[in-house]
Amino acid sequence: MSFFVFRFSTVLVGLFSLPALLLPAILSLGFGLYLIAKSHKAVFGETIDQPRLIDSGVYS
Amino acid sequence: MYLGILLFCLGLFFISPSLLSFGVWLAFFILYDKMATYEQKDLIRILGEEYIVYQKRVSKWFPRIRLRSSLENKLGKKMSKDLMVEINQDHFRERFNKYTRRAFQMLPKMEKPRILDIGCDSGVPTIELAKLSNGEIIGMDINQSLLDKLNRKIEEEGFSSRVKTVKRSLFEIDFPDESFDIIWAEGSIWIIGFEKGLKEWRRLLKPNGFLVIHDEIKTVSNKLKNIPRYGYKLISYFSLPEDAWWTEYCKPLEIRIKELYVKYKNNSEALKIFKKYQSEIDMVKRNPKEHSSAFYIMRKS
Repeated sequence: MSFFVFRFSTVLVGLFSLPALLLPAILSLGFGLYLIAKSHKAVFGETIDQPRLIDSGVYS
Repeated sequence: MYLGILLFCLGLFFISPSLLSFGVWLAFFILYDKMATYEQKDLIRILGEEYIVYQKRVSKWFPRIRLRSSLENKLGKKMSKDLMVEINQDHFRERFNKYTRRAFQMLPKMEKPRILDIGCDSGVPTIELAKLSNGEIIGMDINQSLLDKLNRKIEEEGFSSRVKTVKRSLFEIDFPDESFDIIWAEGSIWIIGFEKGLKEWRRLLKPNGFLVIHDEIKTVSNKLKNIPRYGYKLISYFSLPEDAWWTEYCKPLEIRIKELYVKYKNNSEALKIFKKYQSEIDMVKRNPKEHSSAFYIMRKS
Protein backbone atom coordinates (compact mmCIF):
# COMPACT_ATOMS: atom_id res chain seq x y z
CA MET A 1 0.00 0.00 0.00
CA SER A 2 2.88 2.38 0.84
CA PHE A 3 4.34 1.85 -2.61
CA PHE A 4 1.21 1.81 -4.78
CA VAL A 5 -1.08 4.21 -2.93
CA PHE A 6 1.17 6.64 -1.12
CA ARG A 7 4.11 6.37 -3.51
CA PHE A 8 6.46 5.89 -0.57
CA SER A 9 9.59 3.79 -0.68
CA THR A 10 9.28 0.16 0.42
CA VAL A 11 13.00 -0.32 0.03
CA LEU A 12 13.24 -1.65 3.59
CA VAL A 13 11.31 -4.79 2.62
CA GLY A 14 14.10 -5.77 0.25
CA LEU A 15 16.83 -5.26 2.83
CA PHE A 16 15.68 -7.98 5.22
CA SER A 17 14.24 -11.40 4.59
CA LEU A 18 10.81 -12.26 5.97
CA PRO A 19 12.08 -14.70 8.63
CA ALA A 20 14.53 -12.05 9.86
CA LEU A 21 11.66 -9.59 10.24
CA LEU A 22 9.26 -12.11 11.70
CA LEU A 23 11.21 -12.71 14.90
CA PRO A 24 11.38 -9.03 16.03
CA ALA A 25 7.78 -8.64 14.87
CA ILE A 26 6.57 -11.51 17.05
CA LEU A 27 8.65 -10.31 20.01
CA SER A 28 7.40 -6.71 19.70
CA LEU A 29 3.78 -7.74 19.22
CA GLY A 30 3.93 -10.24 22.06
CA PHE A 31 5.69 -7.99 24.56
CA GLY A 32 3.53 -5.05 23.49
CA LEU A 33 0.33 -7.02 24.09
CA TYR A 34 1.67 -8.27 27.43
CA LEU A 35 2.36 -4.70 28.60
CA ILE A 36 -1.03 -3.47 27.37
CA ALA A 37 -2.84 -6.29 29.20
CA LYS A 38 -0.84 -5.81 32.44
CA SER A 39 -1.20 -2.03 32.52
CA HIS A 40 -4.90 -2.23 31.59
CA LYS A 41 -5.48 -4.57 34.52
CA ALA A 42 -3.49 -2.34 36.89
CA VAL A 43 -5.29 0.87 35.84
CA PHE A 44 -8.84 -0.36 35.26
CA GLY A 45 -8.80 -3.54 37.36
CA GLU A 46 -10.35 -1.86 40.40
CA THR A 47 -12.53 1.13 41.09
CA ILE A 48 -11.01 3.68 43.47
CA ASP A 49 -12.64 6.70 45.10
CA GLN A 50 -9.68 9.07 44.98
CA PRO A 51 -6.67 9.33 42.67
CA ARG A 52 -3.74 7.39 44.07
CA LEU A 53 -0.38 6.13 42.91
CA ILE A 54 -0.31 2.70 41.26
CA ASP A 55 3.01 1.21 42.26
CA SER A 56 2.47 -2.48 41.68
CA GLY A 57 3.12 -4.86 38.78
CA VAL A 58 4.62 -3.19 35.70
CA TYR A 59 4.38 0.13 37.53
CA SER A 60 6.45 -0.99 40.52
CA MET B 1 0.41 1.19 28.50
CA TYR B 2 1.99 3.64 26.05
CA LEU B 3 5.10 1.47 25.70
CA GLY B 4 2.86 -1.53 25.01
CA ILE B 5 0.98 0.33 22.26
CA LEU B 6 4.23 1.56 20.70
CA LEU B 7 5.77 -1.91 20.78
CA PHE B 8 2.65 -3.33 19.17
CA CYS B 9 2.89 -0.72 16.39
CA LEU B 10 6.61 -1.53 16.03
CA GLY B 11 5.64 -5.18 15.55
CA LEU B 12 3.29 -4.14 12.74
CA PHE B 13 6.14 -2.12 11.23
CA PHE B 14 8.38 -5.20 11.19
CA ILE B 15 5.67 -7.16 9.36
CA SER B 16 5.38 -4.51 6.65
CA PRO B 17 8.43 -2.24 6.77
CA SER B 18 8.35 0.94 4.74
CA LEU B 19 9.51 4.50 5.22
CA LEU B 20 5.88 5.57 5.64
CA SER B 21 5.09 3.07 8.39
CA PHE B 22 8.34 4.01 10.18
CA GLY B 23 7.39 7.71 9.89
CA VAL B 24 3.96 6.97 11.35
CA TRP B 25 5.51 5.00 14.21
CA LEU B 26 7.95 7.85 14.93
CA ALA B 27 5.08 10.36 14.94
CA PHE B 28 3.21 8.11 17.42
CA PHE B 29 6.29 7.94 19.63
CA ILE B 30 6.71 11.73 19.74
CA LEU B 31 3.00 12.18 20.46
CA TYR B 32 2.95 9.61 23.27
CA ASP B 33 6.15 11.03 24.76
CA LYS B 34 4.59 14.49 24.88
CA MET B 35 1.42 13.07 26.42
CA ALA B 36 3.42 11.18 29.07
CA THR B 37 5.43 14.31 29.94
CA TYR B 38 2.21 16.33 30.27
CA GLU B 39 0.63 13.65 32.46
CA GLN B 40 3.71 13.49 34.68
CA LYS B 41 3.39 17.23 35.40
CA ASP B 42 -0.29 16.73 36.19
CA LEU B 43 0.48 13.81 38.51
CA ILE B 44 3.08 15.89 40.39
CA ARG B 45 0.35 18.49 40.94
CA ILE B 46 -2.17 15.89 42.16
CA LEU B 47 0.04 13.47 44.11
CA GLY B 48 2.97 15.72 45.01
CA GLU B 49 6.16 14.35 46.49
CA GLU B 50 4.82 10.78 46.54
CA TYR B 51 4.92 10.86 42.75
CA ILE B 52 8.33 12.60 42.63
CA VAL B 53 9.84 9.82 44.71
CA TYR B 54 8.12 7.23 42.49
CA GLN B 55 9.38 9.03 39.38
CA LYS B 56 12.96 8.70 40.61
CA ARG B 57 12.48 4.95 40.97
CA VAL B 58 10.53 4.18 37.82
CA SER B 59 11.50 5.79 34.51
CA LYS B 60 9.00 7.13 32.00
CA TRP B 61 9.55 4.54 29.29
CA PHE B 62 11.06 1.47 30.92
CA PRO B 63 8.80 -0.53 33.27
CA ARG B 64 10.32 -2.78 35.88
CA ILE B 65 9.17 -6.25 34.95
CA ARG B 66 8.95 -8.61 37.85
CA LEU B 67 8.04 -12.19 37.11
CA ARG B 68 6.39 -12.81 40.43
CA SER B 69 2.91 -13.86 41.40
CA SER B 70 0.56 -11.45 43.15
CA LEU B 71 0.83 -13.59 46.29
CA GLU B 72 4.60 -13.13 46.27
CA ASN B 73 4.05 -9.38 45.78
CA LYS B 74 1.73 -9.27 48.77
CA LEU B 75 4.18 -11.28 50.85
CA GLY B 76 6.97 -8.95 49.73
CA LYS B 77 5.02 -5.89 50.85
CA LYS B 78 4.19 -7.49 54.19
CA MET B 79 7.83 -8.49 54.63
CA SER B 80 8.90 -4.92 53.85
CA LYS B 81 6.51 -3.57 56.50
CA ASP B 82 7.64 -6.11 59.10
CA LEU B 83 11.30 -5.33 58.42
CA MET B 84 10.69 -1.60 58.68
CA VAL B 85 9.29 -2.23 62.15
CA GLU B 86 12.32 -4.36 62.99
CA ILE B 87 14.85 -1.86 61.63
CA ASN B 88 13.03 0.94 63.49
CA GLN B 89 14.57 3.90 61.66
CA ASP B 90 12.80 6.31 64.01
CA HIS B 91 15.03 5.09 66.83
CA PHE B 92 18.07 6.42 64.92
CA ARG B 93 16.26 9.54 63.72
CA GLU B 94 15.53 10.42 67.36
CA ARG B 95 19.25 11.10 67.84
CA PHE B 96 18.64 14.32 65.90
CA ASN B 97 16.07 15.54 68.40
CA LYS B 98 18.84 17.44 70.19
CA TYR B 99 19.15 19.66 67.09
CA THR B 100 15.38 20.12 66.94
CA ARG B 101 15.50 21.22 70.60
CA ARG B 102 18.39 23.59 69.92
CA ALA B 103 16.50 25.24 67.05
CA PHE B 104 13.30 25.50 69.07
CA GLN B 105 15.13 27.14 71.97
CA MET B 106 16.27 29.90 69.62
CA LEU B 107 12.65 31.03 69.24
CA PRO B 108 11.16 33.44 71.79
CA LYS B 109 8.85 31.89 74.40
CA MET B 110 5.31 31.61 73.02
CA GLU B 111 2.10 30.71 74.80
CA LYS B 112 0.26 27.90 73.03
CA PRO B 113 1.73 28.46 69.56
CA ARG B 114 0.01 26.94 66.56
CA ILE B 115 2.64 24.90 64.72
CA LEU B 116 2.53 23.29 61.28
CA ASP B 117 5.07 20.51 60.73
CA ILE B 118 5.39 20.23 56.95
CA GLY B 119 6.46 16.82 55.64
CA CYS B 120 6.32 15.36 59.13
CA ASP B 121 7.03 11.78 57.97
CA SER B 122 6.44 9.43 60.93
CA GLY B 123 6.63 12.43 63.24
CA VAL B 124 9.91 12.23 65.15
CA PRO B 125 10.24 16.07 65.22
CA THR B 126 6.45 16.46 65.60
CA ILE B 127 6.43 14.56 68.90
CA GLU B 128 9.52 16.46 70.05
CA LEU B 129 7.78 19.77 69.27
CA ALA B 130 4.78 18.61 71.30
CA LYS B 131 7.11 17.97 74.25
CA LEU B 132 8.87 21.32 73.83
CA SER B 133 5.79 23.50 73.50
CA ASN B 134 2.31 23.59 74.94
CA GLY B 135 0.86 24.50 71.57
CA GLU B 136 -1.36 22.93 68.97
CA ILE B 137 0.59 21.02 66.35
CA ILE B 138 -0.48 19.80 62.94
CA GLY B 139 1.72 17.15 61.29
CA MET B 140 1.28 17.23 57.52
CA ASP B 141 2.43 14.55 55.10
CA ILE B 142 1.23 12.85 51.91
CA ASN B 143 1.98 9.31 53.08
CA GLN B 144 -0.98 7.85 54.98
CA SER B 145 0.93 4.87 56.42
CA LEU B 146 3.47 7.25 57.99
CA LEU B 147 0.65 9.39 59.36
CA ASP B 148 -0.98 6.27 60.82
CA LYS B 149 2.31 5.51 62.56
CA LEU B 150 2.44 9.07 63.90
CA ASN B 151 -1.18 8.82 65.07
CA ARG B 152 -0.27 5.74 67.12
CA LYS B 153 2.65 7.63 68.69
CA ILE B 154 0.41 10.63 69.46
CA GLU B 155 -1.99 8.34 71.30
CA GLU B 156 0.80 6.54 73.18
CA GLU B 157 2.36 9.84 74.28
CA GLY B 158 -1.02 11.29 75.32
CA PHE B 159 -0.93 14.25 72.92
CA SER B 160 -4.24 13.48 71.19
CA SER B 161 -5.87 16.73 72.35
CA ARG B 162 -3.31 19.03 70.73
CA VAL B 163 -1.43 17.10 68.03
CA LYS B 164 -3.29 16.25 64.83
CA THR B 165 -2.27 14.88 61.47
CA VAL B 166 -3.37 15.99 58.02
CA LYS B 167 -2.81 14.16 54.74
CA ARG B 168 -1.78 16.82 52.28
CA SER B 169 0.72 17.29 49.48
CA LEU B 170 3.37 19.99 49.78
CA PHE B 171 2.10 21.23 46.46
CA GLU B 172 -1.45 21.76 47.70
CA ILE B 173 -1.31 23.33 51.15
CA ASP B 174 -4.74 24.90 51.49
CA PHE B 175 -4.70 26.27 55.05
CA PRO B 176 -6.05 29.84 55.29
CA ASP B 177 -3.59 32.76 55.34
CA GLU B 178 -1.92 33.61 58.65
CA SER B 179 -2.92 30.31 60.32
CA PHE B 180 0.29 29.45 62.15
CA ASP B 181 2.76 30.96 64.63
CA ILE B 182 5.49 28.54 63.59
CA ILE B 183 6.10 26.50 60.47
CA TRP B 184 8.54 23.64 60.99
CA ALA B 185 10.01 21.66 58.07
CA GLU B 186 12.76 19.10 58.56
CA GLY B 187 14.03 17.46 55.41
CA SER B 188 11.05 18.36 53.27
CA ILE B 189 11.65 21.73 51.62
CA TRP B 190 13.93 20.20 48.95
CA ILE B 191 10.85 18.67 47.35
CA ILE B 192 9.55 22.03 46.17
CA GLY B 193 12.85 23.90 46.41
CA PHE B 194 14.19 26.21 49.13
CA GLU B 195 13.22 29.50 47.49
CA LYS B 196 9.77 28.33 46.39
CA GLY B 197 9.09 26.94 49.88
CA LEU B 198 10.02 30.24 51.49
CA LYS B 199 7.82 32.13 49.05
CA GLU B 200 4.75 29.88 49.26
CA TRP B 201 4.74 29.17 52.98
CA ARG B 202 5.03 32.85 53.98
CA ARG B 203 1.28 33.45 53.60
CA LEU B 204 0.56 30.71 56.17
CA LEU B 205 2.47 32.50 58.91
CA LYS B 206 0.88 35.00 61.25
CA PRO B 207 2.61 38.44 61.35
CA ASN B 208 6.03 37.96 62.98
CA GLY B 209 5.57 34.18 62.78
CA PHE B 210 8.58 31.88 62.56
CA LEU B 211 9.79 29.52 59.88
CA VAL B 212 12.28 26.82 60.88
CA ILE B 213 13.88 24.80 58.10
CA HIS B 214 16.23 21.84 58.37
CA ASP B 215 17.77 21.36 54.95
CA GLU B 216 20.94 20.18 53.23
CA ILE B 217 23.93 22.47 53.57
CA LYS B 218 24.64 22.70 49.84
CA THR B 219 24.47 26.25 48.41
CA VAL B 220 24.15 27.63 51.93
CA SER B 221 25.45 31.10 51.03
CA ASN B 222 22.82 31.45 48.30
CA LYS B 223 20.09 30.34 50.67
CA LEU B 224 21.17 32.81 53.37
CA LYS B 225 21.33 35.59 50.77
CA ASN B 226 17.80 34.84 49.50
CA ILE B 227 16.08 34.78 52.89
CA PRO B 228 15.41 38.57 53.09
CA ARG B 229 14.35 38.60 49.43
CA TYR B 230 11.36 36.37 50.28
CA GLY B 231 10.18 38.43 53.23
CA TYR B 232 11.98 36.88 56.20
CA LYS B 233 14.60 37.97 58.70
CA LEU B 234 17.23 35.40 59.58
CA ILE B 235 17.16 34.95 63.36
CA SER B 236 19.77 32.25 63.57
CA TYR B 237 21.49 29.56 61.59
CA PHE B 238 23.51 26.56 62.66
CA SER B 239 24.92 23.59 60.85
CA LEU B 240 25.04 20.09 62.25
CA PRO B 241 28.49 18.55 62.76
CA GLU B 242 29.88 17.66 59.33
CA ASP B 243 29.72 13.93 59.93
CA ALA B 244 26.47 13.91 61.96
CA TRP B 245 24.44 12.01 59.38
CA TRP B 246 27.12 9.36 59.23
CA THR B 247 28.04 8.95 62.89
CA GLU B 248 24.62 9.52 64.42
CA TYR B 249 22.32 7.98 61.83
CA CYS B 250 23.85 5.91 59.03
CA LYS B 251 26.59 4.17 60.99
CA PRO B 252 24.28 2.79 63.71
CA LEU B 253 21.71 1.99 61.03
CA GLU B 254 24.36 0.05 59.11
CA ILE B 255 25.21 -1.96 62.25
CA ARG B 256 21.50 -2.76 62.65
CA ILE B 257 21.20 -3.80 58.99
CA LYS B 258 24.24 -6.07 59.34
CA GLU B 259 22.67 -7.76 62.36
CA LEU B 260 19.51 -8.34 60.36
CA TYR B 261 21.54 -9.63 57.38
CA VAL B 262 22.68 -12.50 59.60
CA LYS B 263 19.17 -13.14 60.90
CA TYR B 264 17.58 -13.18 57.43
CA LYS B 265 20.50 -14.62 55.44
CA ASN B 266 18.22 -17.23 53.79
CA ASN B 267 15.44 -14.80 52.92
CA SER B 268 15.99 -13.33 49.44
CA GLU B 269 13.16 -10.78 49.82
CA ALA B 270 14.66 -9.42 53.03
CA LEU B 271 18.16 -9.34 51.56
CA LYS B 272 16.89 -7.25 48.64
CA ILE B 273 15.42 -4.72 51.09
CA PHE B 274 18.67 -4.60 53.11
CA LYS B 275 20.65 -4.07 49.91
CA LYS B 276 18.52 -1.01 49.15
CA TYR B 277 19.16 0.39 52.63
CA GLN B 278 22.87 -0.38 52.32
CA SER B 279 23.21 1.45 48.99
CA GLU B 280 21.72 4.58 50.60
CA ILE B 281 24.04 4.21 53.59
CA ASP B 282 27.03 3.79 51.26
CA MET B 283 26.24 7.11 49.58
CA VAL B 284 26.66 8.91 52.90
CA LYS B 285 29.60 6.72 53.91
CA ARG B 286 31.55 7.67 50.77
CA ASN B 287 31.27 11.37 51.45
CA PRO B 288 29.75 12.26 54.85
CA LYS B 289 30.47 15.99 54.46
CA GLU B 290 28.46 16.11 51.25
CA HIS B 291 25.37 15.06 53.23
CA SER B 292 25.68 17.61 55.99
CA SER B 293 22.64 19.72 56.90
CA ALA B 294 21.72 22.93 58.66
CA PHE B 295 18.89 24.65 60.53
CA TYR B 296 17.63 28.05 59.33
CA ILE B 297 15.52 29.96 61.84
CA MET B 298 13.63 32.86 60.28
CA ARG B 299 10.99 35.39 61.23
CA LYS B 300 8.35 36.74 58.86
CA SER B 301 9.13 40.42 58.29
